[in-house]
Amino acid sequence: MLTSYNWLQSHFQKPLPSVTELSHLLTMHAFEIEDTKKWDDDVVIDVDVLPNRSSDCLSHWGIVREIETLAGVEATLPKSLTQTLEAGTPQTISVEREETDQCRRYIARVVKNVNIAPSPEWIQDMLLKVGQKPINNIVDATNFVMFELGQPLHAFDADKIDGDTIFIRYAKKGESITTLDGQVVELDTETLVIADEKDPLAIAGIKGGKKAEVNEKTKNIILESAHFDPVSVRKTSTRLKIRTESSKRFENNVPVSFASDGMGALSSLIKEVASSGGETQFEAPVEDAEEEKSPQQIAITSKAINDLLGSIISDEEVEVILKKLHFKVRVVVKGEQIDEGVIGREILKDGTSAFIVTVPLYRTDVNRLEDIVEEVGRVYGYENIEARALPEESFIPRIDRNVYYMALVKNELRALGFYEVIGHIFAPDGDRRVQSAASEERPYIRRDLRTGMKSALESNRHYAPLLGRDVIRVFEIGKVFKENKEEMHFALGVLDTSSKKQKRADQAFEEIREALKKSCGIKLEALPKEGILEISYDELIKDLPEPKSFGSIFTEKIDHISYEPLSSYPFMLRDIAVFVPEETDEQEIMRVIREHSGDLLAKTLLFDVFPKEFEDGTKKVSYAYHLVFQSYERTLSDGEVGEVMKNIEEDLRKKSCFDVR
Amino acid sequence: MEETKDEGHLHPVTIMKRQVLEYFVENGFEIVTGPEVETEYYNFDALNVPKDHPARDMQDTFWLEGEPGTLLATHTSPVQARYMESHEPPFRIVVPGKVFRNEATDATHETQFHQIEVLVVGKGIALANLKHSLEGFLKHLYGETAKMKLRPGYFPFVEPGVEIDMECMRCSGKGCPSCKYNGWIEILGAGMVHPKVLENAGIDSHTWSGFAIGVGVDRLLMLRYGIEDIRLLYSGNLRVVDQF
Repeated sequence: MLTSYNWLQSHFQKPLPSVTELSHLLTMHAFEIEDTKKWDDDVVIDVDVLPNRSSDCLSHWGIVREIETLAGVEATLPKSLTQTLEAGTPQTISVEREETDQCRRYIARVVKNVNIAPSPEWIQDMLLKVGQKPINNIVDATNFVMFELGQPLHAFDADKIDGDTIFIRYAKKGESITTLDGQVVELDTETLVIADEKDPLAIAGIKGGKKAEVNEKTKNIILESAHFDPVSVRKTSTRLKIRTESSKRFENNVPVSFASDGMGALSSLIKEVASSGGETQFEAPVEDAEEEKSPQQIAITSKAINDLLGSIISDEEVEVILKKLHFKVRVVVKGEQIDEGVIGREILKDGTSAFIVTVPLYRTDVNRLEDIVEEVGRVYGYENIEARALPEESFIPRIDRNVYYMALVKNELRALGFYEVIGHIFAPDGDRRVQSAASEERPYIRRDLRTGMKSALESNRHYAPLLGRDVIRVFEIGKVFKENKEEMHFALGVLDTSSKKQKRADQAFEEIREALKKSCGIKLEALPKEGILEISYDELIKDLPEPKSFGSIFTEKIDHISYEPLSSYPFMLRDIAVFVPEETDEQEIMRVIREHSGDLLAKTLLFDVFPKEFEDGTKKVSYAYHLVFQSYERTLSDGEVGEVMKNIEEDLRKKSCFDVR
Repeated sequence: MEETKDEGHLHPVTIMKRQVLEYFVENGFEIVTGPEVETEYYNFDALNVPKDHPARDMQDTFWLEGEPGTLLATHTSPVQARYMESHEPPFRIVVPGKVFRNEATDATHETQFHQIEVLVVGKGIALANLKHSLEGFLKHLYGETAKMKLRPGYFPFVEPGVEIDMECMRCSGKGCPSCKYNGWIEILGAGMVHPKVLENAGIDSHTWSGFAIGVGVDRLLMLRYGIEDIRLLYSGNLRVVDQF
């Protein structure tokens, strides 16, 4: 939510902390400040208001109240919003809430002889900063007060409505409305509308209609300040695909008490910026509402607060914090009668005294002890709570067999040269599918591992040299989905990139069978099909005993890991083979190769080693390497790589007895 | 660049998961796993996220076609709800799992990713205990100098809820591109288990309390090793796996 630092400051007599300090205060105790941007002599602050505070804090005044609490400075509403008006002239309209659940409160007010004009600079300025377009002083005033107080407001042109009653009702079958932006919207019987005796005038809480639009010719207006049911607004907004600053706030349950504050502030602002001399007349507001609810009362003790936080906050300090939060606090002692309506009143039996906390009506998010604990905790500051070790407990953790053997098998497969893949759940085919697939080609959830594994093997075939392998071995242990079933599967895949016959692939499967039997006691009998073997994981581990402990099965050597982002440029392959004296350290050869390749050497594979005794009796060893060259910045040229190879060969030849083949 | 050895490679997500699991298993936690296809009840209702709750917007859901009330788990918390229903406290569990969100994909967002959640329920469990576990965990991952701070956060299944920021390891909090010049990186979410969630599972919230921690494995992994695109993790790209 965008706010203007200057506009926040205008609520305080004393200067506010700097933008940096204010951001830190709010982030650590209320809401994260996501971004701040300079705007002329002001700073626009983007506040990430948490979802549970979107009821009372989607406004400057909400943030101002938080600053009051956290910085201990008093705030007042700007004068332009608090002017008193004379007793209103008699009402010429009435209001009928046909749906009292969907609309718990509706206030309408007629204002005669307004002077439509562009808004003054300071209003346009604030609106632009919060991303709103100025239109005219009446429309702007409704938006301004919404961004100030969090109460969405609307104005209708009084002379364009039929009759003198405002109805809050569901739309009738076949009704439609042309919204202010010219869109024709078909309405359904689940949509709440504001209507005159003939037509819908607005989609309640969401968007106004063109029929009663306020424009340059308007003389008389009707102001609306109301509460609309959050669930109903959310559903309608989703159904009609119309989202506005107004609907966003109503969806989050604007406090019912805000309606009168909003009407008062709006009336005051209109008097200041849209009056025409002494002729403007404010009629008394017309209100149709449910009975006002009394504020919630919650019984708490500082013991209960300290128990949940693990803090040591005294009674006195708890009381101070609660008052900073604008909660009313009353101390009660044991034996005192507590009203039945007080939430958590049984707490009194635990101690000698308690607090009865009266929560302001606008804090719709505070309903129980834990909510108050959070309020006290965040104001007190989580940094002030000392960490405490977990208590000793009698809990004995169970060793999950599936988890244990999965780790064991993975480690074993790694030792055998396998790469683990984690495939995507979404597949081009399957038994079950999702409703709104992210990709049209993959709306199913996979029924096997082999389909994904096959593509993975193929797509990595080309990159085999970069992996330094000519036989690619992969495995996956993951879930697959059949009709009504979710199963864990185990799959192995082998691709021999050097031969079409896949001879080495068959060999690889035999190796695994032997190895798994020897190390884990697993009897893997299934046969691979097209280079991939897949069985149910349960089947794989069915005969294995219950494990006693995890031991260090999860301990990984991680010090060697250093990730380099992938290069998108093509690689080049070169081979080199060299005879060296028997006692030579192979690292010497590598050193020379690396020295001349620098950053360009992506991978090496020592693919052949054999000793040879020459006619003259000297014993040498041949080392043969595949070298892979790749750059992060460009496609390498033959010439460039050729140059590197030339340098390597020259350097190797310089060493006595090194014989490059 | 090292010459190749015969050893293969586990997936970086597995390696990251193991670093997390190692700490909690050492501290007496039980590893629990759950289904990838979940019911609406365990994924939302049991966790204090009723129908039409704006908090449902926080997680875009994949619903299954032709299977009412069935979805792909959007977080690993449902497993905690299931466990709490069928076990008596005290207990300490760590829950690794694959989760799914119906979001537009980009370098930092994928439709599938991994989470690990931690749940401790016992007598007198407080936020102070949560802090201790968080500190221990971060020090295990990042070393003794790891610094963290807690600030207000919101998740429907905890109250109080906190976000945990860790001091950026690359610039020691001075500000750099990795931490968007903030000095701190948002790394975990946590909080005290909401009494409604305990009650839904048949646990008396007057006797027992608990905390929960949520870890985004992919995020941790990408931050730690500088992996440039989350989509690389699930596209079968072995050149990524090769580096681990």
